[in-house]
Amino acid sequence: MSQSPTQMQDISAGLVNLVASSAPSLVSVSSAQSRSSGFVWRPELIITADEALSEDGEFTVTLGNGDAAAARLVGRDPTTDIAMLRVDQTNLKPIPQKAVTVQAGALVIAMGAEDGKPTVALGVVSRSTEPWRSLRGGEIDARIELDLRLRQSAEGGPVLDAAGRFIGMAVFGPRRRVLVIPSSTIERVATKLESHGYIARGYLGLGLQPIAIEDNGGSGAMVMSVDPKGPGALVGIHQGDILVAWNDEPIPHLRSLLRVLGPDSVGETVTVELRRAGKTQQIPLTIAERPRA
Amino acid sequence: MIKQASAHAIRLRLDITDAALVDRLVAVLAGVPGLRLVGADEVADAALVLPTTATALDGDVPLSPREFEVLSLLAEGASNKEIARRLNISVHTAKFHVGSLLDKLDAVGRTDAVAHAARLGVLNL
Repeated sequence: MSQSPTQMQDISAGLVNLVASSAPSLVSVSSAQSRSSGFVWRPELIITADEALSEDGEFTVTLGNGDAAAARLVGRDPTTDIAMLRVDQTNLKPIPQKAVTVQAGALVIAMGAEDGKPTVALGVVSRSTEPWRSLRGGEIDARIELDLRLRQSAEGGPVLDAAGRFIGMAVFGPRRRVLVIPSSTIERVATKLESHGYIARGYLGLGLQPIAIEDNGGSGAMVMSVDPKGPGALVGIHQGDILVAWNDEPIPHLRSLLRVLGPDSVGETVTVELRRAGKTQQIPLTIAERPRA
Repeated sequence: MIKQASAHAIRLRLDITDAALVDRLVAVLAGVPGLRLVGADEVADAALVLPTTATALDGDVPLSPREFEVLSLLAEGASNKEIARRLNISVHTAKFHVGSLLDKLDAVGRTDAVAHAARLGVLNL
């Protein structure tokens, strides 16, 4: 009984081809005690997982031919887990990039590299849903989880669908589940990292504590501390003031403030309504850039 | 009891049972102009409550004080390195706390940790 042995062979040969055609875009990344993977995003530019990259020290990228090249850090964004390195190698082949959406159930391969040579895992997309915010407040365009076991060294490597299209970068989520940082998120963040070296974040220079306001049944944020150099101090916000509205919108949670302090908020002028000494006043405030630690 | 009526001061009540925390809050807030701390049975314009009472969430997971600190810093977008520096711990330890926090929050389906952090208390925004 021949139960389609040729189909199995086709799948297998297809996978081998997929790996072979993507291998030139793969690199292994080493830093301090960490080994991870990355891929060529643009000529000379490597994308890898921020979490897997050590904080300091030297970074080395190993290419498919086994050559090791010193890499310089271009920028990193812990909120989306994306880091960018530059190598002085003009002959690297960028991974083909096109916006791709994947559905749950789709077959994918997650590729990594050890000493520049590909490592591969096969699995399915176990979840592909709406955009989400990371623990650190990064905007990630889709929640994509994979049902496969990723080796540690493959963190930061590319994930491809059955047609060989680049879906995103494999990283570890909670309980070592494998998440994909989607290609569209990488494109957006990497473009900024290339030009600025980091992702800016809005800053008020205020230490805020959520409080309930009894007379209107609402809530606000009490100013517990003021950074003397921050934009809040600049417009005369004091300790003890209570922020009750932001551009005429109430402030139900501090997280609603976190949301409006994203990368694009820097330089924007907003109107904050605050209560001081029983009186309400409106104050225009220009959002600054959060100082970089 | 006679108290000077300060017409425009915000009357703030501390609905907090932790005496040490109350002491610290009083120390911070007592000298603030335009703000008057009032007792439990007095009329207040606003009340300070413990974050857990402010937005109690279902299926909450107990976190250690250290994890709370890490969570607040995460909500401010801090990197592992910044967390390490701010808490005076190693980057390795910071990473460990972040990882265990993620796992705990995931276990109760609350990966939107910003919601958690926002009820913890002061965030530097």
